[in-house]
Amino acid sequence: MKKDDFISGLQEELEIETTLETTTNLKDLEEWDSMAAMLLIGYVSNEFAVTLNADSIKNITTVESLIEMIGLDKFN
Amino acid sequence: MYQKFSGVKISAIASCVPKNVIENDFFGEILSGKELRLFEKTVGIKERRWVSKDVTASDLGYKAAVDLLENYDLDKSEIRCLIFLSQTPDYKIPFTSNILQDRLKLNKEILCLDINAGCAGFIQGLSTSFALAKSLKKGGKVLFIIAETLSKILSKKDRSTTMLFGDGAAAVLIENNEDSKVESFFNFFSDGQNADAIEIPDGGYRNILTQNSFEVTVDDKGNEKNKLNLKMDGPRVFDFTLREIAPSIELLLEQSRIKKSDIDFFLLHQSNRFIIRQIANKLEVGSEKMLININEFGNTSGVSIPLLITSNSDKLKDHSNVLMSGYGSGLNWGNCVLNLSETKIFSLKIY
Repeated sequence: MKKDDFISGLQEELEIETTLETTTNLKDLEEWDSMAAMLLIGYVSNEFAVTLNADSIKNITTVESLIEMIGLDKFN
Repeated sequence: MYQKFSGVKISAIASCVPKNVIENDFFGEILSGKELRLFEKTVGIKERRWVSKDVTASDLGYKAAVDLLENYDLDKSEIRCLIFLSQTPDYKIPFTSNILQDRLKLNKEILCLDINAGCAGFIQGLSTSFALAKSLKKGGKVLFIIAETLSKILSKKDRSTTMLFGDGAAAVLIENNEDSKVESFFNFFSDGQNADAIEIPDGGYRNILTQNSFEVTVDDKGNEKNKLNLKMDGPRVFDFTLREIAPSIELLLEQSRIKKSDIDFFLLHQSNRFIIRQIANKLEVGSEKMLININEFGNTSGVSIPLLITSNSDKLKDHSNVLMSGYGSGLNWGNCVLNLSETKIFSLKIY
């Protein structure tokens, strides 16, 4: 998947009103809460068959850190 | 622990929920419109039912039991054991099962037993009932009443619990019957290391009730609760269910040598639709086989599986090989494979 497609899909799934960049810290978003975390887990699981757990959710900071967690090899 | 039973069956099952419907807009004070919408989209709850102040879990359980006893042809004296399973009993002392024994006019030659168990309670209570029924003479019966009014222990200003839970009850008749063709299989797991993941901190005898128990504290997300309210470490419980449940179900199928494709329906504890779907994905079970009614009742703790049975009686009539899975406080989790072809399922009653 292209990084840009991933980011716009993420923005749509979590219904984020600001524009997401790779440098955006997800935890700083007004929309970030436990339901956003669920939507994120669901989105990543559907797109990449990768299951994020609570620990990995805790460690996420920026969109880039999320991409690294999923695995850079999964993006082109 | 793994168990196998033959010669024991669930003869009948009835259920009851309170009449007061609480819709999601009720929580408008603690959640914005968008948050409520996302809550519906992820957790899947649209409404739940809460009892009024003067109704207890045992009142709901009594109603369900009366419905069962009135509509199922049986001699009450054949009920040798009455189990009441709940985390919201009438009293600390005595057993609520004793109170129900009198209310239901059951024989005095009976074993009354209360079990304090949470979201895995239906599977735990069934296993106990099956073991007791197996030890009885042919025709001996166990009446298992499971009832919960978690609305009474929630802080209405705690977003991590209050919208999630609903009230309800079910009555299940388990019978020793050597002629029965059905076999049943159970497995159980416990993790006491995470005992504090779901708890009421005060009011037992480790932390006895004091003035301090009523003091309201506010966490970093603005949730308010006192030490007599239900407290849940959501992320820890969430991780536990995604990690443990699917493999434990696979293990039961392996232990009992049952093919996944022979299971007609999967009835998972209704805690969170997102979690149920994630477990379904892991098990590679299609959504048509995964029954869901969390939208109507929320998480009713151990009552959620019997409510799922009674609200899907039409489907279960001809497709009665079911796998049930309960998981929650303790942490405890357990699964069973049952055949409901000899089970009379009564429609849901409103109290």
